[in-house]
Order: sequence, then C-alpha cells, then structure tokens
Amino acid sequence: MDEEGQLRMICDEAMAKAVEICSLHKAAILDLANDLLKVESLDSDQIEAVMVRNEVPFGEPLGTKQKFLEILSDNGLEPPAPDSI
Amino acid sequence: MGKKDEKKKKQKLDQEPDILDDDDEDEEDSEVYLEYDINKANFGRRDLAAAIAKLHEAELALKREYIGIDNIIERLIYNITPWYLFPQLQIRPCINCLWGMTGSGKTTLIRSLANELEIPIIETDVGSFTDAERIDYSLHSNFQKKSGEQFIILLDDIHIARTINESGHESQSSAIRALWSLLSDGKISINKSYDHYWIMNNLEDAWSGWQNRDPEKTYESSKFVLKYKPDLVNSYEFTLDLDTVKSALGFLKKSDMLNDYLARLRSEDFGIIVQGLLQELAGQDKQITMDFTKSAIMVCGNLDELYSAARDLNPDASADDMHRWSKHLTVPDVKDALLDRFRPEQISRFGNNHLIYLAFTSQNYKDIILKDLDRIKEYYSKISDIELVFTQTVLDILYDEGVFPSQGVRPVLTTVSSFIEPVVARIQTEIFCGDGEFKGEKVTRIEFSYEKKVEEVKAVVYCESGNIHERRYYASLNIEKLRRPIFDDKHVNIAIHEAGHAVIAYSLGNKPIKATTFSPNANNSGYVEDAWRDNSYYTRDILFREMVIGYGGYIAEQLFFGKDLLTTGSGYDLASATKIASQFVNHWGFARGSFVATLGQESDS
Repeated sequence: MDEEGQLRMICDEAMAKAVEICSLHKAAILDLANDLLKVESLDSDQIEAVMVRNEVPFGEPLGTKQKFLEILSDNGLEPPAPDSI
Repeated sequence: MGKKDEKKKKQKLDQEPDILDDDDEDEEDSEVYLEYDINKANFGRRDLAAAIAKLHEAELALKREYIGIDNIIERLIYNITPWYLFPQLQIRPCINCLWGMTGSGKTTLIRSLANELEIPIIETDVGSFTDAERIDYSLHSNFQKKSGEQFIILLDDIHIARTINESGHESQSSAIRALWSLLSDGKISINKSYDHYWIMNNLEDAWSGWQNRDPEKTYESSKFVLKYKPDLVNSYEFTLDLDTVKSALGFLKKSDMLNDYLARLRSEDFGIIVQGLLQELAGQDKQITMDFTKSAIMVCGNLDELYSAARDLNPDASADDMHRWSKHLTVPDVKDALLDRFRPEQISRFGNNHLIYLAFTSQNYKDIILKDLDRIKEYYSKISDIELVFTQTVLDILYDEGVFPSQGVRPVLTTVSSFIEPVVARIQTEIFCGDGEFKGEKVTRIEFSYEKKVEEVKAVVYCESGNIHERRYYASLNIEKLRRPIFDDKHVNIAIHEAGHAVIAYSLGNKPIKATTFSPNANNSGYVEDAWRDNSYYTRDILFREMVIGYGGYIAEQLFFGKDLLTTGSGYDLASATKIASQFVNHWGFARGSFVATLGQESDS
C-alpha cells in the first residue's frame, strides 16, 4: 500500500471509531450540549455527572511506563530493589 | 589536637547559633575557628556571623515579597552562600541561570536580592548590544572601577542575544563575544585602543588650543574644565571636557585624584597637566583586563518554548495545568532549548546552576492579586486611616480579567492598577474633599464589590456617625464579557461540537477537565481540556485515541445537523488528526505494513 493509502486507512479507522462512539452516545452529546449552553463552562465533575446520567462508560485509562513494566513483569522481569539503582 | 579536643571542636561547629553570640570570644573558641582561616578571607568572626544572618534575612524577605517561587529563592541563596561569605576564596564568578516564562519576576528577584544583601548590582541587557555598543566596552566604560570587587552582575534577556539565529545558522556578532570569557573565567580583556585614541585626541586638541591661545583673552571654567571663548578671527577654540579627564585618570588608575587635577586644570598649570597626561597615557599598555572573578553572575532568560502552552494566549488556558506540566522540566530540557540559540561550548559556560521557574498556579495568581490589593490598602490606611475591604467578587473579577496563564504577573498587576485603583482613588478623593454627603463625616471603612451584570464597582462607605453611603463606578469588562453565554445558532453548533469531543474523550479513558463553548480567544470559540497533557511520551494507542477525539466535534455536528450544515469550525481538528496520521506513516512506523521513514523532515513538520 502506498503512503497515501496508509494515511487514508488510519484516518478512516479513527473516523469510524468516532462515528461509532457518537452514534452510541448521541443522547449524552445532546445532554452535555444542553448543559454547556446554560453556563460559562463545565468542570470535570459536572461533565462526569452528565456521562454517568447517560451511562457512558469511562474508557480504559492509558498508561505508558507502567504498562511496559507490567508486560515485562508478566514475562519474568524482576524489578530492581529501590536502593540498587 | 587530641581526640577530646576534636570532639569539642565538632560540638562547637555544630552549635551554629554560638557564632552569633557576642560573649563567645574566649581563647578556646578562637582556636576552633582559626582552623578555617576566616581572617585570611577578610572576615572576622563577627562579620561572618552578620553575613550569615543577612543571608537568612534576605531569604525570608524575598519569600515575603515573591509568591510561588520559594524553591527558587532557597536554591539561589544556597548557591550564593560561599560567594557571599568568602568572596576572596573565589577564583571564578558564581554563576546562576534563571529560566522562566515572560513575567515570572526573574529580573526583579535579582534586583531585590542585591538590595537585601546590600551588594552593588551591574545590570546589562545582553540582548541590546550591537557591534557598535559591545558588552566589553560597556562594562569597561561603566564599571572598570569595580574590577576585583564583590558585586552582582545581572545579564538580562540572554535569550535575545543568540549566536545561532532562527534559521539555525551562526550569527557572527562581536557585540557579546566577551560574554563568554566573562562566564568562563570572570575576566574580560579589552583592547583599549579605541578609548585610548579618543582620550589622546581630545587631550592633543586641548594642548594645541592651549599653545595657540591668546594670552590676553579670558577662559571660562564652569561646565567644562576649560573653554576658550574666541572673539578674534583665526583664533582657535578648544575645550577639555570632564569626561576626557575622568577617562584619562581612569586609565592611569588615578580616579581618586580627580578633584586635584580639576583644580590645577582650572589654573595656569593647565598646559603642564595636559602635557603630563599625554605623556603618561602614551606609555600605557594596550590591553586592559577587568576582573569579575569575585562577582555573582545572574543570567536571566525567557525560554517560552520550554513551557508547552506558553504561546497559547488564551486567558482560559489552565494555570494549574501549565504549572503541573512545568514540573517535568529538567536541566537537560533547558540545555536542549538553549541549543537553538547558542553553540554547545557556549552553553557549557552557563554552568549547571539552572533554576527553572514553574508556571504559576491559579492559587499563586490569587495570592499575587491579594498582595497587590494589600499594597493599596496599606497606602490608604497610612494617609487616611480608612480601612479598605475588597470582597470576593473583586478578587474574582481581577482574576478573570487579569490572568493570562502564559503571560505571568504583568497582566495581573496592570489589571489591578487599571480596574480597581482608579475607583479607589476617585472615592478617596471625594471623601478627602468632603463634598456632598461626605461633608463633616469621618469615614472609617469602605467595602468594595463588583457587580458583573451592570459592570459596576460598588463602594459602601461606613462612617463613624453610623451613616452608610453608597457609590457606584462603571468599570467595563474586557475579557469576562467574551465568556458570557449567548444563546444563538452559532453557539448551539459549538455546544454540540464540543460535547462530541468530550463524550468521545470520556469513553476513551481521557477524562475532560473543563468544557466551554465561550472562549475569550477569537481564534477558538470553544474547547475541551483533557487530562493527557502530562504524558512525557506517547504510544500509538494514545495518539490514535487523540485522533478519534479530534474527529468527535466533526462527527457530532454531522450526526445532529447533517452534512450540508457542517461548519468550518472543524478545520483545525481535521488538520491535526491528519497531521498525526501523516506522522504515523512517515516518522513513527505506526502504520500497518512495511515502514519507510521520510528523511530530511522535522518530526513535527
């Protein structure tokens, strides 16, 4: 596949995921937009309240360093003692 | 010294407060301290104690004066302690570099430090030098007499004095060449030929004028040392100005004899003196070395590019987010940023004492506002005995109007001075003049509050008589007005767009911190702030999710309004997602299939 084809594939994949989530939680989007129009801004707790109200599940949080450590630990990596480094 | 004596010595040294004790000067103690040759460092014991106390007082005073930089102050005081206590032991300058965003108070901190320690300060704006106005000539003309003394040199705005230009090419400016030897060994050698030539020329003119003078005419010696007033055709005018005499004596290290020379120059000895100066100067060496080894050099610069959002002038950018991110900054980050401006060997001359300012937190900004309001309160309390009270509404509006997190303290302070100070001044003037209802009243207290809806500062004036008066002053909002919700077609569209981003972010594990459809920044009508800014490096998974979140606004608009009503508001989101996708393919090897890197392009291009 050429460069443009690869680029298009990644964009399509991301776009499809966005369509999937938005369609699934259309009610939540409308509810949140409704709240947004009433106030200057919504903070983290207020946003979460809308999500909970509309049963939007919170996605799997991402880790980077911790995740790598976890994978290597599963493969037998023994973490060094804290004072040995 | 026996073991018992050694133990005794250790105990003495551990008892730091003893150093400050007036009565602690018996012979036994002297033996302990003589081990350290303090006297050879030009410090008696009492001087040393006073110096330690002064450092401590300076630290406390600076912490009182400056908000949010206690860690910088502590490190700075720690770093300069050996220099301050034992300047004679220094063989090179004590260099400290202070890096931060604009308006973080680096320059004023160094000025305050010099003031607290009562150490003379030389301030140079390094960015302002040109080939015609070089740093070595400037230091020579202004500070030659401080050579070898203990003082602070502030090298300000170092970020402007770049030796690598914006295109990455070396710029060959001779203006700051001497800076590198100053930072390296604290000495600057200057070829005196230019100054020397100038002084000799002036003296020769004066000498020649003196020789050709008309003995019958008068001379005045007020502003100039001597000025002949010619009134004959073909007569010769000459002056010998004070600067020439001062410079000549400076070269000859006779500056302390200026008054003697001036007295003799104003007499019949004029010719003898000028001729003598000419002869002495002719025999001078051409090189002069200025010694700044006993100084503390404070390098201050703005490295805005270090702070990820420093170019985001949106006042709604989160101060706390910026602060949290700035905690990740390290000395290697500073050196990396400097590489865009200076050559590696020049960067090494800055040394390793790099003090990195954290971006201010929202609480820091609130404290800064409170402190400035306290300054106003204190002033009026002194001149009028009236207690001023600023309610929370005033603090809130000053924060909302004044804080641009990427711009530091200056916008906040100017907002206080333009927003609230004029109101305080106006009501105080009315009270002082005793006009109208204030006639015969003794005012004890004024309480200020702000009413957003009518854009007015309300001042409630309490009098000793029990009377209460009210005044209102129009104080127009600039920024806050832009945040007000306006229920119209455009904002309904923005609300759906931002809600799309937020719902996707949440469902992908990136909790939105804030969402708004109203931003004071004209380029950005709404935004969702997420929690992923803190990542120091990114995986394919994170970046793919960022792309999906980026498409959220576009898809939500389409879902609710249809393709025909899509707006241009998604342009930036789509471009950002495409940019990430392009880097997936060309730079990071994240695409499916084989990977061929595109060479010769920056990774963020």
